Amino acid sequence: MRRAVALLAVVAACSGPSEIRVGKKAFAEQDVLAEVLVQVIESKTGHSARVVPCVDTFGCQQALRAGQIDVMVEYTGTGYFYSGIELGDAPVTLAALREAYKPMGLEWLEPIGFDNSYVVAMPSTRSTSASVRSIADVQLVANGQVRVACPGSYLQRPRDGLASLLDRHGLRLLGDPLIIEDPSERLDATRNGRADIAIVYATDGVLSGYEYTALDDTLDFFPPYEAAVLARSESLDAQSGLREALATLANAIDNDAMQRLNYGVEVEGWQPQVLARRYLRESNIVPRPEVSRRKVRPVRIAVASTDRFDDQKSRAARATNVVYADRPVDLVSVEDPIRSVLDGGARLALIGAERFFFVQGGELQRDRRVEAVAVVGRRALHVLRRSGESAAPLSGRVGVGVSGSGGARAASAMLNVLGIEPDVYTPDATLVELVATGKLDAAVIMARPGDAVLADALETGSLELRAVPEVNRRDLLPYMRQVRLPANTYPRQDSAIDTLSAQVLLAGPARDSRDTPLASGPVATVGRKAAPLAVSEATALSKATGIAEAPDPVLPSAWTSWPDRAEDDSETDTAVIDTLLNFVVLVFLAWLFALIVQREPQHDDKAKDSSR
Amino acid sequence: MADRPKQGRINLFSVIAPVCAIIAAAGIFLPNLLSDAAAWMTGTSFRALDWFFMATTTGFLVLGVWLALSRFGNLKLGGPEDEPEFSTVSWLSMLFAAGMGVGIMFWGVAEPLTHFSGAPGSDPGTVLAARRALVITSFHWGLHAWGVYAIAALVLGYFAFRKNTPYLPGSPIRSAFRGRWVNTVATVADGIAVLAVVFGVAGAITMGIFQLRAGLSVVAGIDANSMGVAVALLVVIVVAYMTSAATSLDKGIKILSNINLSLAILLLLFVLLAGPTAYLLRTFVTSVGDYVAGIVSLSLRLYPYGADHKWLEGWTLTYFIWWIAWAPFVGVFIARISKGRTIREFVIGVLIVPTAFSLLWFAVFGGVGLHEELVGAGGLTSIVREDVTLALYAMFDRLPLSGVLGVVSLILVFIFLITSADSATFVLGMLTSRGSIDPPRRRKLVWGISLGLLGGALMISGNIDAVRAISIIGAIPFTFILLMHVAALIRTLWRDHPKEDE
Repeated sequence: MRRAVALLAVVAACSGPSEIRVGKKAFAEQDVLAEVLVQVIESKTGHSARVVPCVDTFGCQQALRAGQIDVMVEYTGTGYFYSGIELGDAPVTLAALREAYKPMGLEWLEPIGFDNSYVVAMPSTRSTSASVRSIADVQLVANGQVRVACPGSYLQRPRDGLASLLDRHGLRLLGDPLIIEDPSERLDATRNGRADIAIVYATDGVLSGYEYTALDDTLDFFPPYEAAVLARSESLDAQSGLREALATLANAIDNDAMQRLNYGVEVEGWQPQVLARRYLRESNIVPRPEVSRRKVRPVRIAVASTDRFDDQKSRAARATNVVYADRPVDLVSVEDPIRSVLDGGARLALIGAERFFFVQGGELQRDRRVEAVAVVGRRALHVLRRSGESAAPLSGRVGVGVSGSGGARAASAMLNVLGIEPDVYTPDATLVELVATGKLDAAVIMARPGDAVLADALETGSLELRAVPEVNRRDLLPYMRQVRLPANTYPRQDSAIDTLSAQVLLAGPARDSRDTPLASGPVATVGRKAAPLAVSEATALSKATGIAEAPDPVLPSAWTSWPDRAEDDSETDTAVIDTLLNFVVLVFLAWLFALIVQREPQHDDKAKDSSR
Repeated sequence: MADRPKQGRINLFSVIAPVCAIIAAAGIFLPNLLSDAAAWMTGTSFRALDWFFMATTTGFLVLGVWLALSRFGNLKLGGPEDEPEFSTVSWLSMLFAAGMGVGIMFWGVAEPLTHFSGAPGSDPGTVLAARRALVITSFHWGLHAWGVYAIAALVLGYFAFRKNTPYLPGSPIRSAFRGRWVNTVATVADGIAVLAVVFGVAGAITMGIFQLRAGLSVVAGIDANSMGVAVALLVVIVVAYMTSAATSLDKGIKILSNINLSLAILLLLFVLLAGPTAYLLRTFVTSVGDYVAGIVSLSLRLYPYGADHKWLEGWTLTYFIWWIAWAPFVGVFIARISKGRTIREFVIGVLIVPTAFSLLWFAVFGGVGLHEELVGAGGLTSIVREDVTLALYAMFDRLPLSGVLGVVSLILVFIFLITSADSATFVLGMLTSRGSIDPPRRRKLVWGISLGLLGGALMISGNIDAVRAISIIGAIPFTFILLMHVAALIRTLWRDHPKEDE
């Protein structure tokens, strides 16, 4: 009887419509926060929760009012502007909003602890030189004409959006606004002069790595954008424990923490749920289960500590995360990424095409231990000299990137073809300094077109880019392609520049002869490490990078080795051996048969005697 | 009767000792040469004679079943008064420990997931692929493996216990056939058997230590490439199996095997209950059904018309050749512990029970993995491709008490290793003491130390391919010896027990 009651209780508990729908807008921070809500709800209430993407703020607000979602994280400023309520002169506070939202059946809970306000950003070099400190000061630049880089959603916002911002500060738009969703690219655009100001979020993860000035909002144009849970009162009351569960999020995430989480998603390519889980456990909001230590092993991408890939790193990490969606992705800094892939320290290596080649006995050799899997981008050689010199681009003392880096390898290979030995090996930033101060005459830097270090260096005007001289022995640089960097790739770069570029790739262990019969079998688990990526994995990775280009066919690659190499044994030889072996075996079997049926009367008696 | 083997043994050793030394030296000093040679040999045999190995292995299984069902099934391995020396449970655990060993631990999750992500007959990652994965794994670890062992053991046991021939692989040949060639061939057979056991077991010890070290590196975080750890493990293992070998068969191996199997069953039960139990049992029943339904076509399929032949060589045929490589050792050992059982009892015990256990094992371990991939958090298949050893622990991580499970798995691997090495010293002792059924302790100890030294030398040479090559070096010639054994058995059975006698 007691058992029956217990069973009924269980059935009753399970049958209620207890799935809680968490809304989110379409950007990284909302991805993380939605996961945070889901995990807090699931672990604390026992209800299941599900993320429901809404298109934008309008969509989320509507879904919330219509009961299509139960909770979401909203920002006070946004909540004010999008609700159609009027607070008059009262400051936009949570208390005021709470009051205003009550009639709609929606409830603002306690603030989560960070303020994701809009930031009008300018590269530090430009803001100081133009002495722009506040948004209002921007008017001083070029007669109030500005070029703006912002996310698409910013155009749409009726009260704090681009149009309002410009109107309030007496600015006019010069050309169309640059719609760039990636915040780092938005800042890049201001850095290389395509835009004057960029609109970013205060908690954008990538901003931590950038030098920029957040312009003061002296006119109080932006209200506070405190993040808080916005929920349907009905759901809070109906679902037991939901209110208490969400209350644990009060002051749970401050600005730094949110920025770190965003960095994890935007740059390091972590899955939001993984980051959310980690954060909730670290901050003891959700108790840590006993066996979380190695719950899911990360996919590691090895990057040489000497190589500089910047955003190509995050592109690689993001692509890997798409393909291995069920595992987190770790970028690890190592001395030799190829070695690391081979001994199982990492699954993939992020390397420039130059690392596939080495010189042995005066001959250029391919490193066939790894194979290219997907293209992540390109890097080009940049010859940097002081402006206005008439000397040949590579005359005098020449420096290249830090010893052991792919950049140094590619640059010195190019120099060697021209009969030049580099004089200095040092990091790129130091190279720039040495050239600027006259201690070097030229620096050859391998970097992606538009690179920040070079952009900063060229900004001053004392340095300039020169073309890479015509190289005759292209056979010694098979992985290089001739390219022309268009004018204005960098600040103060008036004309196109001819140079050489090479692919940046994700590489994995190579397909080799490991499929010999010996490598398998019951005890073969040892040494079965670093199997080549499955064809499906390679294809998926190359799709996920967003760069359709295939690896250069000069590189050993997963692409060129499919389908499996045809057997190159000389046909006749093996045919003879095979036929011989088969003949021998057939004779043996025939002989066995003869042995079984053969009669040997003279021994039969003897054998019978000895048998029992 | 006793004079022939004595003579054979003397010849045997003057030939086999230098051959052993040469191969060992090649394995240690020219590892690449040896592994290339072995790869070429197996590669060529698989390419040219795939049908022969497939048909032979399947043939052994068919023969075993036929013997059990035929009138010969009632014959006892031993005299009418002989009773089984070991209880059925101990007998089963001893033969399972000797026959399967470490591999079942590490492949438990990894092999089904590997086939799940790509094997002939299904699209990778689909539900069909999951079913297919377990069928193929069962096929590799199931009846065919035990069919090889059963026949190897049955022939030896039949002749040793019913004909009172010495306990040597050459004996059935000597006993059944007449001719000038018989003694030479029988001596060669003895030699190859000793060779196969020495290298097979030394290789197994070396690889077992590498596996143990890989496991330790995951569980305890030690350096996965440390030679110091490997040497320390070797010393511990040698001391352990020597201690066990110093006792009688009854005490050492029997106790170890019982502990081993109990622990394995406990681990299996824990994973079954902690994992999605109903799902795993569904998986088991379905995979048994698929296995039974598919065994005929699987056993005889060589993929002659497409690109799947490479896969067949790399998996199925390689498995078969490993089972044959271990047959001299496992066969002799199983035969030794099976005295007093009827052929029918023997075949059922050796074929059905271990196969059923393997099927359950793979259904549970592989089932957890497939469950994770199909409905769970996923992320295991790509780990398997990255590092097979990791797969087991990655699967444990999804279960409660994963730390304890990791430790238990290492203990199991450790005991499996000791049991194998212990039974190998026992077998070598028998083979080299004129086929005595209870070899003197001193001889066992000498072999134990030799195996340890050889394993250590192979380990320090550090070339996994060479170790593998050395382990299966005797397999291909031994296939032919097994076939002669079969001929000897059939001939003798028909001659001694003609139909009208019954």
